[in-house]
Amino acid sequence: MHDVRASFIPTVKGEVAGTTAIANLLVYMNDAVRKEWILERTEALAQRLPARSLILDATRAPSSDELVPVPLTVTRAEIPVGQLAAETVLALVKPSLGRTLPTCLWWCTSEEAHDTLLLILAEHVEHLVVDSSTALHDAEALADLSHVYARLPRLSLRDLAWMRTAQWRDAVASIFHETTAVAELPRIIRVEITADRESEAMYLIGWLASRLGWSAVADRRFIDQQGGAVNIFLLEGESRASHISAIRMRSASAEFTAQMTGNSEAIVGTYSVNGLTVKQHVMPYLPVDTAQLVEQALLRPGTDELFEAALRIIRDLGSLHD
Amino acid sequence: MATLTETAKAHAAFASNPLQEGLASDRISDPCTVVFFGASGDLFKRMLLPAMYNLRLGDILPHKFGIVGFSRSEYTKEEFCDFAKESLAEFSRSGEAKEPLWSDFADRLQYIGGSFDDAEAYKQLKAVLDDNDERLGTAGNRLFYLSTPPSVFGEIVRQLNAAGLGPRDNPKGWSRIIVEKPFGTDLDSARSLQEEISKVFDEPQIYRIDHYLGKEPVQDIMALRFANVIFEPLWNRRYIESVQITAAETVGVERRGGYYESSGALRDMIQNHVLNLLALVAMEPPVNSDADSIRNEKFKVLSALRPIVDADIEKMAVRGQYDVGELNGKELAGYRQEPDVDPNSNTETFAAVQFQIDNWRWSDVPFFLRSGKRLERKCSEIAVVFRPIPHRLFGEAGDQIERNVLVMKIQPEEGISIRFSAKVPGPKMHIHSVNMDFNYGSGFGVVTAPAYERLIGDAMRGDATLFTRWDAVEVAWERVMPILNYWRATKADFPNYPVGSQGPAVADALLAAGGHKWRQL
Repeated sequence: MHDVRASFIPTVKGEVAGTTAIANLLVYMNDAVRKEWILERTEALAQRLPARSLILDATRAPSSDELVPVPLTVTRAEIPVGQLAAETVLALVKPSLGRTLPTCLWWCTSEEAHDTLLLILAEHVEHLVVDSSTALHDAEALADLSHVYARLPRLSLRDLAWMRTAQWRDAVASIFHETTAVAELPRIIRVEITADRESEAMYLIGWLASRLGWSAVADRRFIDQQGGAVNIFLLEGESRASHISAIRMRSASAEFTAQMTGNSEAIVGTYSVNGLTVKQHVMPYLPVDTAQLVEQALLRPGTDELFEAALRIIRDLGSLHD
Repeated sequence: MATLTETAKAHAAFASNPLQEGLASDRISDPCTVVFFGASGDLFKRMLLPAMYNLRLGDILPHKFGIVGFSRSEYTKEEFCDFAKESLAEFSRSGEAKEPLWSDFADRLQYIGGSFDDAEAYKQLKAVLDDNDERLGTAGNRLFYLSTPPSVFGEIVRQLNAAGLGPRDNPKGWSRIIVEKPFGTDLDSARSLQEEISKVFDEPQIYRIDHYLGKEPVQDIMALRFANVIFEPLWNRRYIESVQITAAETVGVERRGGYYESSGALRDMIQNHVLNLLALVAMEPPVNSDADSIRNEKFKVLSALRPIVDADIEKMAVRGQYDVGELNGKELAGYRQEPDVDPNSNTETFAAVQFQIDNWRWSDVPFFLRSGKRLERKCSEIAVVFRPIPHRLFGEAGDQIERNVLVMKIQPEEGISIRFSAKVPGPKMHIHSVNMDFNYGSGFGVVTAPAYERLIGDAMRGDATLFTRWDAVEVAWERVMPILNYWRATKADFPNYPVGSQGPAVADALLAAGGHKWRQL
């Protein structure tokens, strides 16, 4: 029996169904190893939204007859885009998205991202989800992202790297419960972060600086509201359940640390003065599941003021670095 | 160089922790100490302590919290911690407690041994709570959890008040009390208990717990009804023929024979759990989602339950008691052979009641409630049975059209199922009933937390939505009292259903009289 669906998909591997989609889910991937996981997540997310899913597969170069847009009636398609110029990809993608549905772009790369393509595609989507932590040079990817966002402030942007720092932000904030500890915040002179992903460490720095009113004056240096210097040190950590393993903040007399325990099940926060412990908190550390983060990011779009402020600081630091 | 004044101004700007601003967290904000009365008992070690520990693991508890156990058993602090750690290893869904969280948790555990009428023990309790305020920063906030036999509820409240632990003697923080079910053993005792408690605690400070209400599928009843447009227009006498609410268990009375002898299925399940479910299914949409708006509607619908007069009791309510029988290939004793049970007991282990709701929405729609022990299958569910189609369009094929049924599954399965008719593929018009299922586990990819975690967390937050207000408790007792009194005065023909069955034949007859039929367990 002739499958009527075939007439809709002359050149694209895809599926056609009655369209109940409320969004386009556009996924860019360049990692052959994680391909199955990404496809599986995409399918689950597309059902949940519900959305048309268009997967830009940079692990495979297209044949010449695959260089055609996806018909709007196709609800799921994998589009090979390996080795294509950014403009060519855009020429394929733009008509495939149609004009009526909002588009979420999940930028899912593990190697150096095709930043020109990201810039170009970002202009045509409403919502962008990235994971700076997985980029080969994550700090650079993050700096690039800060520029993308500066150029496209209307974009609803989520970075999984930022979302992963949530428990650390909470843990650091918790160390400053005591009134005497809060009084030390304007006197912080040194911040030391141990992490195996620089992007997440940078997010924490951006967050601290934006909350405490620090201004960037050099690559790893801020001045606080009274003009005092705050020096930043990033130490490389071992790869663990959490990409961050410790944060130390010091004033002249006090030290505040948040340290992951050996079993990665808790963060111990300590407030000490002149070497003597004043207060210690133990906070449970809940394992972060990337699949859940992706789901949260895609299903709950919107901007986050703390994130935006941190990203602005990162951009300022990047400008000083340049 | 900043001047001192400038520096002071900047410091003043950080008077509240700027790092805390904007952080989203599910954590309960108010510090507090939770006091568990009955801390050496089964409920504490199986449910309440694991609930507290899992709230801690989930980072839901406030940073500043304490736990005090109070019971008759004599434990040192170390012994109580050992008891707690062993209980967690055996009963917590997260398994054995691990370091460093366990040590931190144990550091916040205190224990006071004493009888519930021992004034000295309450003085000790006050000293521990005051010390917690200083040492742990619990800010005078106290949550008292009565997980003791109901006979001592009143005494505990009196002693708390006498020791200066009532809310009126606590200007620096809040005081709340969670009262385990049963709230009274009949209408009079419930009223007496309410009178005792309300001398010390005001109604907004009293949290009457019914753990059924903390189950996710029960909370989902409101979401199903009021977060969808497709059900509420049908949710009335015009489209709904009947509603069946079932709370069936495979377990017997286990070691609770003594308690159950003075309770029975009507008191133990129907008066609280099952009527609460009825209220959620039948209530009008609340004006908003706050605790009192919802509880107002629940009270209204319970008030609209038609009182069953003596002359109608035989027609509207039936009872049963299990006899020897086989369940899952195992021969099990009848109720009268259970430990601590009178060999001639007249206590019902099964009850089924038909209620009518006298309001515009539900007039003439029967609500069939049943609950029993040692039945064939464990199953708690609400089944909304819709009326038959008004016109048989498909001729003979239409003979196979069953009624639509919407089932809200509470336990052991958690989800929603809709039964509807569909055409069987093929050249002829054959109609067949099919199910469309939603399951919590696969639908959301999460394991639902036990009800006690949700409810204790809510009480700590001061959210009483899932707790039963006194007026609803009172009206529920008022509606079941005629049946209780009638049953007490008349001898039943017990035992009348075997272990592992669907229940007594009289329950089938109750529905058959109106042309209805129980759903298969």
